[in-house]
Amino acid sequence: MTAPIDPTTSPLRADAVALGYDDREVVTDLRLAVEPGKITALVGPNGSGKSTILKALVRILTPRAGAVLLDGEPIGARPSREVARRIAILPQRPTAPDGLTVRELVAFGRHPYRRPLRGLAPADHQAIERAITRVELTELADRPVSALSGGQSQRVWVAMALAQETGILLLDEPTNHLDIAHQIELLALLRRLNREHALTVVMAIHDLNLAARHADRMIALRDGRIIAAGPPAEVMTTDTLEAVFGVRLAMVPVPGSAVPVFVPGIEAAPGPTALD
Amino acid sequence: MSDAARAVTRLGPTRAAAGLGAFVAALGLASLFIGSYSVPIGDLFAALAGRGDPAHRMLVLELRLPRLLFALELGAGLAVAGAVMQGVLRNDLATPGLLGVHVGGRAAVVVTVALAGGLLPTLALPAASVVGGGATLALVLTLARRGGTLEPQRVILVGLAVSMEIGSVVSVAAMVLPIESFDFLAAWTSGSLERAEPTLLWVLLPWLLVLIPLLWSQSDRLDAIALGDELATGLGVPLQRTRLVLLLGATALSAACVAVEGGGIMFCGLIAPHIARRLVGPAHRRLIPVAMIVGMALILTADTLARLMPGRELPAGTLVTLIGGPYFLWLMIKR
Repeated sequence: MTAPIDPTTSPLRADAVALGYDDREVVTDLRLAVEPGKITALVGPNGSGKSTILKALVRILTPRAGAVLLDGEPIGARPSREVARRIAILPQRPTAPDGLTVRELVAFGRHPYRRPLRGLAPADHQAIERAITRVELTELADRPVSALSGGQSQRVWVAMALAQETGILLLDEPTNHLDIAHQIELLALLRRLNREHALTVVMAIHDLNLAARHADRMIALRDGRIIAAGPPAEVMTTDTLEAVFGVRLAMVPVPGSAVPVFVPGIEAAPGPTALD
Repeated sequence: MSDAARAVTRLGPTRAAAGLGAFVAALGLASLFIGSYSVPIGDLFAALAGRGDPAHRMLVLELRLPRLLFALELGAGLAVAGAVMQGVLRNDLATPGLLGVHVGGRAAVVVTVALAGGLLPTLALPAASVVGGGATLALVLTLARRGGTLEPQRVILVGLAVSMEIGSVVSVAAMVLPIESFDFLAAWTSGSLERAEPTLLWVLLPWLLVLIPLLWSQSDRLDAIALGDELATGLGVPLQRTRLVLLLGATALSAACVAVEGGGIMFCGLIAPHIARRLVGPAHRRLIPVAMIVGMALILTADTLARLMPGRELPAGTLVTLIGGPYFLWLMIKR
């Protein structure tokens, strides 16, 4: 299924892409165009191919068929450093080497701009400080990363990606292992970066309701295929979610919002909450 | 020590390098005096200048000075190879010695010596060792690979198993060698610098001069690789190519050293990078040069102590192992 986006305006798209590991095909005939300047959420059950798609979009994984195109060119044909100046990725549960400070870790984001064995240039220092300010970690900049809380260290990783100064940021389950307050804080941060700096965001995310609240566009996947794509209000319906997750969820309207939330419970207690 | 404390107590890289450099220089000078026969200081400098008592001159210039230079070359090469291999495999136990490069290099040298006998130019020894070491590493990594990933403990276990097997094959092969070759091999494989041939100093030098700067120039990429394959790729590291260059470079560096010392100085590649990491942190741009100096200090210390032992002289490799064994064990237990 094709997401309804004009592919010529999309900086990053997948064209009839098939992906897999060893003899297992995970994603089939994926056609997807990342919408510039928007936040896109990939949702779907475990194993639906969310992480796999992100890996292909940043050329960690090479497609078995089709092509991932960055600015219309196959991404694998572009020099690694050049790609790294256009797209940053924050994988699931990254680990920092022992003893690095916040500023040292954020400095890694400058890798695609550095020359071998040269120290950081003034432009690098500026980008690092800017990134640290944007995630509001200025006071903690000289602290070891290992001494930070889960929410803070996740923001350090975001800062590292920001120091890469790419227009596109991919995140794989960025809210995993965070409590609800820190989940909201992180997604609000992404929204702010998106609004103020026109950052294009694509994230794989488990929590549907959170995704619907913080994304401009949702892409719902099942077994490596796109089941539905569009604004949250269109994707978040009982039928679509059943097609994606295989369970009927109960829809609860949220006052003042066009997007309802969905909660489990309809099968256990069918009744007046089943609105659809 | 907590990470916070470590970040604070970490030495400045310049101070660490300067301190270690001074230590190496002092110990190096001392090592020229130390031995079964001591040379008076005036005669030592005279000998270094190429004057004075011919016996002293021979002792200093032809025995002790080459030995000192060997210790420095080997310490540098083995330590840098260890630091790079640990970095590229993201495994603080994965050193060339433990992954079979040493024993593979040794096997290739034994085979070459057995086949070519005295006809062999010493120039060919490091090359033979590099081929044997590289082939062994390739075998170990292929066997250890499962599901596209290299699980750290598995790599070490496979490395040890392959090393033992090749080691025993070498022992059996050595039995059929003529007795002079056997004696040579016995001394050679124990990591003794006592009989190291001065020509090998020159044979080893180009390997060090090419490979150490090459590996050091990849420091930023090694740092990015420490963050994991995904982030390294995301940061613009061409992963497959870089990994190949680093593995080949570290293997060649350590196998070239093996051609000189026989593969007996196994733990230098493990210990020196660890000490360096404690001193200056994990960034390879600082880690690699500091590990290099630590390695020099380590082997120089071992070789100097070896000369002070009463009775027959102990090989430097044995002394490094004496310290390295428990250290390795401690690392394993701590994990």
